[in-house]
Amino acid sequence: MHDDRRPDPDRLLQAISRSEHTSNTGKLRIYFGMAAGVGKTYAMLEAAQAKKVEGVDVAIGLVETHGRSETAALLKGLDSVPRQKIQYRGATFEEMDLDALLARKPQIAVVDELAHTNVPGSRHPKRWHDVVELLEAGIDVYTTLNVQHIESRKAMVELIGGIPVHETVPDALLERAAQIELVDITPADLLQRLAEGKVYLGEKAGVAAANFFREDRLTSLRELALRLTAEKVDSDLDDLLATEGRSDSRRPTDRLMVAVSHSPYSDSLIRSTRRIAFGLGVPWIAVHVETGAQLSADDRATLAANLRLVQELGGELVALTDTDIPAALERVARRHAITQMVVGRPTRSWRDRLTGGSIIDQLARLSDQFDILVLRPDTSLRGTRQRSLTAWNIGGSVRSYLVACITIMAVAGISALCLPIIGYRAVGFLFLLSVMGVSLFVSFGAVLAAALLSALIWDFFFIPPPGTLYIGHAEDVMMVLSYFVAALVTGFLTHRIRTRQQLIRQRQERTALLYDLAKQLVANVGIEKAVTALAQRVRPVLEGELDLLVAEIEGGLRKQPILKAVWMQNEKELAVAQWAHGHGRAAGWATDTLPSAVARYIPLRSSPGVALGVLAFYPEKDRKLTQDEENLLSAVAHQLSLSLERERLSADADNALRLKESERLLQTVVDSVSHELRTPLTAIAGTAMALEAGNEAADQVRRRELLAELLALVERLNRIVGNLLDMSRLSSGMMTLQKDWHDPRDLITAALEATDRELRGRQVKLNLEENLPLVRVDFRLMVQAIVNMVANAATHSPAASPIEVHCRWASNLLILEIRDYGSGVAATDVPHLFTKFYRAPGAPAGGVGLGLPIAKSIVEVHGGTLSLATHVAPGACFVIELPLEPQPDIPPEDEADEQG
Amino acid sequence: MSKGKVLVIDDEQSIRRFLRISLEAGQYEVVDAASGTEGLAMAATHTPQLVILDLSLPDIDGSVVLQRLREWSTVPVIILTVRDAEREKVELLDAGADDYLTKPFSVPELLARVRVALRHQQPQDSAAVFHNGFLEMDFPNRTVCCNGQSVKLTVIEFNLLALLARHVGKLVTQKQLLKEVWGPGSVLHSHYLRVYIGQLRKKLEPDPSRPVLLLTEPSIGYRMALLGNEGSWDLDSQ
Repeated sequence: MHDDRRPDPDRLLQAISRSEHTSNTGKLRIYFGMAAGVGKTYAMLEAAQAKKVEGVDVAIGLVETHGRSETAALLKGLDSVPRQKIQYRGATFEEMDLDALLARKPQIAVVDELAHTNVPGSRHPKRWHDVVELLEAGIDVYTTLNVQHIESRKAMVELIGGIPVHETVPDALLERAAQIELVDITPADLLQRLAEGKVYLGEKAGVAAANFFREDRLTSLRELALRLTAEKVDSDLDDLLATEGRSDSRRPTDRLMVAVSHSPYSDSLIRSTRRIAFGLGVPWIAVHVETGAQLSADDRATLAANLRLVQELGGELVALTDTDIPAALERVARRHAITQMVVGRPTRSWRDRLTGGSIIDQLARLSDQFDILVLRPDTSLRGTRQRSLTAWNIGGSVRSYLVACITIMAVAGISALCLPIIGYRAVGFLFLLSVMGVSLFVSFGAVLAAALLSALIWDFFFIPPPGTLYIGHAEDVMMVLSYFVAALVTGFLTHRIRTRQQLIRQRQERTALLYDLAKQLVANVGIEKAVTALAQRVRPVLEGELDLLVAEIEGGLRKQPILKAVWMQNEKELAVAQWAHGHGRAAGWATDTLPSAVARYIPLRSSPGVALGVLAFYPEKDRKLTQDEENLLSAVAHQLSLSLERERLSADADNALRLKESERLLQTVVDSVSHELRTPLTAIAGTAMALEAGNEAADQVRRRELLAELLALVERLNRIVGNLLDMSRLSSGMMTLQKDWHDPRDLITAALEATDRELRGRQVKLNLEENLPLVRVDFRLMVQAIVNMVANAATHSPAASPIEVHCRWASNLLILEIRDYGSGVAATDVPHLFTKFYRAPGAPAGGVGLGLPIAKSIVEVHGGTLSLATHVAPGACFVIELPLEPQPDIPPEDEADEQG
Repeated sequence: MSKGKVLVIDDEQSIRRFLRISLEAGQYEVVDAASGTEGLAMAATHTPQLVILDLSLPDIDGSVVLQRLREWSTVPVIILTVRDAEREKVELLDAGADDYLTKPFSVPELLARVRVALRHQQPQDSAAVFHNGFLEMDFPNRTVCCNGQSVKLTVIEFNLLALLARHVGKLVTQKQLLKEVWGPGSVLHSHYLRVYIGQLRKKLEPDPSRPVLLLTEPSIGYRMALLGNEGSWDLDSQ
């Protein structure tokens, strides 16, 4: 009990996140009343006018004045966004123009009648969806609402008013409201206004609506509205206390749970649970146990509606698969620390007695960890078909029964033949065996039929006296009875085992699928391959196609989906995807937003909420997804988000690394360049000064030497600058190759000319093969590569040693070798040969360590390779290999044209 | 006596000074201008026999200067460029420039180009027989001798060689060669030139892998070297 004084951390977090939530998004103010005509719209517009006077930007999204002059008068001076017209079934409807309002982006938007249902073709099915979007866009919304439209109060209102309520607003929206303004008048006053014709009851106002306005009913509705407002105030106060650490009103450990099935009763159970939970101020969860039973289309629809209701009422939904409902419920309850479980009062059936009591009895036996709250069934639903929650199905196809009967007949025939040998008692065992066998393949009903039929046939044809149902011996009576029971029980058990196995198999399939999925994405094969594999794997299970739209780093969505699905190739579908991307909520098929789209678009977000892309799911046929399928789809989406996030992170890391690398490189460049440029500059300056200082009589030979030195230094500077330029262009990727056909001889000649000074005094052996093919290269760059190689050879070999250049070709390669007779390359230097700014220790001055890397880059951008030939001694031999392209056509010239 | 008047248009004073010293040493008269506008004015007033034009000028682009100059003058123009500007060079040569020099260049290189450019300015004698070093061409008979030996050339080879010979010493662009030898439809087929120049070298050059007669100006065109009168080749063997 000392624990009770401590604020519940969950609640604290919730309160904090709510205040954070409201600061980023718009605030919702609801003008709330018991019924139409209490003056909500009027009060709302008054408040809007007051805000306008304060200088706040107010815009009317939509207000219905219903021709009332006082209300219309209040609209004056308020900016109104024109409504949009929507065509539906030949008629034109006016709806609020959400996009226009979003674009107008007022501080406060006034939107009447929160519970309104939009005309099909609008973006959202309900107006409250529109309002949520406005709020998320950071716009405050003023709106009106009647108590009858609140989801959790719907059933009660229907009970009070006697008329069905169609339009509802989820309670979660009410909880989200920053302020609920109760507009209250007494029922007597309201009736007075009604009598004066001041209340508009809607276009289809009929007797039913008029009947609704009776004093007793209004009083009940008023009480409901007042109570709801009080609850809201109470819960707001508690939130406040919780954040301030002064909460003492709650048992924060309380948690409610309700079991949800395809039963129509579930609806009222869910609403009741929510009401109780809200009253207690505690969280609640809803559990659905999928038993594997085949549900009819109606049942599936009811189930889906029930599950949706849970979500609309703000409950947490837990879905799992199991044949044993009580055990599953108990498990969930234990895991979620449930203190109270809400169940409906069951109708006792024969099977409950057979299988050990109703679910409640079993639950009560299984655990004493929670209270069980049994609610009476909703009386209004009496007469609707009662459905069981059991895992097995009495029904089954006609085929199932046929198989059962034919098997029994066949066994009967065989038995008749064998009767003289085995005796009529053994026939019973044959029958038992066949019933067991049959139960492996058919429905439970068919097993029952087989047991019955076999018992009758046995009795009639085999047990003496044959041909009658009469049984002669007392022990035979016992035998037939026990046979029947045995057949039933074995049939039942076998069937149950089989059903369970099926469920396990299904679950295993899903688990395997998820495992595969995770594996595929972890394998890091690139998102495109992963999505392709994923789509193939998921397709048979979800009966639909997947595709993915990836977001750009800047946030926009790429227009082209990864798998280029055809169904996504139109503006409308892309717009839906865009919406989902921008709002972080699923949109499209079978959602609340733009449901007319052919596919569903699920936004993918990273954990810090960065939009990564949109997963598209295109169902092959229009159907409801089961909860399991929904789970699978969200699991797929989740995995994809993770994988996209990882891809993006690794790209970021790569970029960071590259940036760091280029910084390091820049530093090296600066160091090296400043040194390498300064050395020849110093030498030039020195030489020039020596020349200047020398008098006329100075030795002519010495002058010549100095001048030659000067020229050599200048050449060296020029080469360094050229290499630096080439390197920056090659590494920035800004280089565009100006490829053209060239004669390899021209390349070599040009390179040798450019290195004329370096090669002075050396023997250059040229060994060029006859009929060398043309190569398509960027001439200047390729010459530069060869120049660098030749200069490198000259630098690293003794001044008088020869240099050899060989050029030959083989099949589709042009091979160019540059050989020197120097000291060769030390083994330790080999790995660094082509590293920028690497200079072999003890290398002669004159380079910046750029020659080889640049040559290599140049050769590589031409699709070739540059390598050091192994086993060359003495000296070194570098090999350039260039791929040869098919030779271009040359117009033939006849030999006859040859001139003498 | 001056060999001719050269106008240097360059905004770099050091380059102007260096060109003036070198050209004056080669006995040319030099006038210079630091901007395009000034250069155009000087070209009009001084009527030089040769213009050396830098491409990057502070006021108007060198190519514009060339274009304006060509509107009224046929004076030979040598342009100064930096390397990497192959496309620009080709464009300017096609637009009427006579030759180019890539910075940095040597003095002998400069003087050789100037000499060739000025030579062409002199009226072309319509000599039927052309001598250049070891090469001898007889245009009316369409025969070629190399070192006095008759060499068999195909029609295209001869036409190509003749075109280069007519511009001996001067750069002829690829476009010009292709257009005149193969026709306007072939101006992009530079590989024709590679093949035929290769064939000509094989037939004419003493060492085809180190050509001395048919020189490649990478990516721009070809030039037939002016082999001069020295050497062991007897020019008047005919």
